Amino acid sequence: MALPSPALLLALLQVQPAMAVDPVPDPAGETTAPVMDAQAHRLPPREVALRTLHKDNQTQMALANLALQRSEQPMVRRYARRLLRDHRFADRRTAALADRLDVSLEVLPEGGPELIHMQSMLVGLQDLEGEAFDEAFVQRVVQSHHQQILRLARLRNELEDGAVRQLVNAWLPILDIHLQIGRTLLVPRPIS
Amino acid sequence: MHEHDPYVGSKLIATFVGGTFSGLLAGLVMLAVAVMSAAAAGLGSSLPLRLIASVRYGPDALVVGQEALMVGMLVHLLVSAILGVLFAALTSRQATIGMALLFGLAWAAVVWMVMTWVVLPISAPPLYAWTQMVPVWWFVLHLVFGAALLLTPVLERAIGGTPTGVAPA
Repeated sequence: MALPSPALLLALLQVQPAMAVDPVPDPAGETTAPVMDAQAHRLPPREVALRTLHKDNQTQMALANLALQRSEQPMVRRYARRLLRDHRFADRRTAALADRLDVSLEVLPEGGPELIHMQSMLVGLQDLEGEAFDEAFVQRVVQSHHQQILRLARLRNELEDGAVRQLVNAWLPILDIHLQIGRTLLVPRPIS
Repeated sequence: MHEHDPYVGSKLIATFVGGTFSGLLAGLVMLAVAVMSAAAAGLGSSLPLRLIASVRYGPDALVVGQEALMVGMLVHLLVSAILGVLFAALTSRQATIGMALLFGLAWAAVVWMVMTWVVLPISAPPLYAWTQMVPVWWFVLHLVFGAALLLTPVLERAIGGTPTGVAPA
């Protein structure tokens, strides 16, 4: 059997990063439309990190805003408000740093993969109400935080020492706190 | 022998009461600045107290009801009072306001180090996480606390008098 020529292998290797995907499981645990990672565009790690932070902050703020409109459960509302405030704060930090480093955060073109990712987080939630909404909301926050923590932890290893790495290092524990609270909220509580 | 020295007794009372009052006052000033800055940053005015309450509730302090604010307030004031008493014990009550301010800032730096690297990572991880997000501001808040302790020697003198005029036993 003839082996592929070096030129073909090289072509495949060059194509592969552009097809790199970051599968996002939906709340039911099934994979939805894959989301292309900014890494696929071979951006410098600091740009990937800033865009990833921004993208996630936008997603979490959209989720939290929806929960503040839909949920009537005080704990869930407080959780949503906390998420909204923390991610808005982090996003301002991210934007300020991106501005200082002359990095564009314009990663949400209409119909682009990041927007699809955000929409996939919201899809289905808008049709839910009451406890079903609360549970689905918290599940999505937990899953997306889990993914983001893994993604940032991976990215952190590629970052040089500097402001972006500092931001990622400082933000990761706060994401973990959000994750822990979400997991607590998912545990069924005895009726009192 | 100094079996019963009234001056020593009054000094201890002055240290305890004066330190408690000045610690509480400094704690309230620090808390006020923290609350206002959190609100101004869009993080919500309740965040500082909720983060302190994570000593009791863990991360859930950020979402439980108003009881977290009470717990946060109690813990903060208790720690502030203890730090105020320790400061009073370490500082001469003859110190001028300027000296007390300098000692207070130095004390604040020590407290900041111990809190940041020893106490919080163990007792309140959510608060620790936020201190890493806003490290400079966290340090400034401690300087505010230390600066607000400058009245400690004045309070001690007002409560316990001064050594001059006390007849040696």
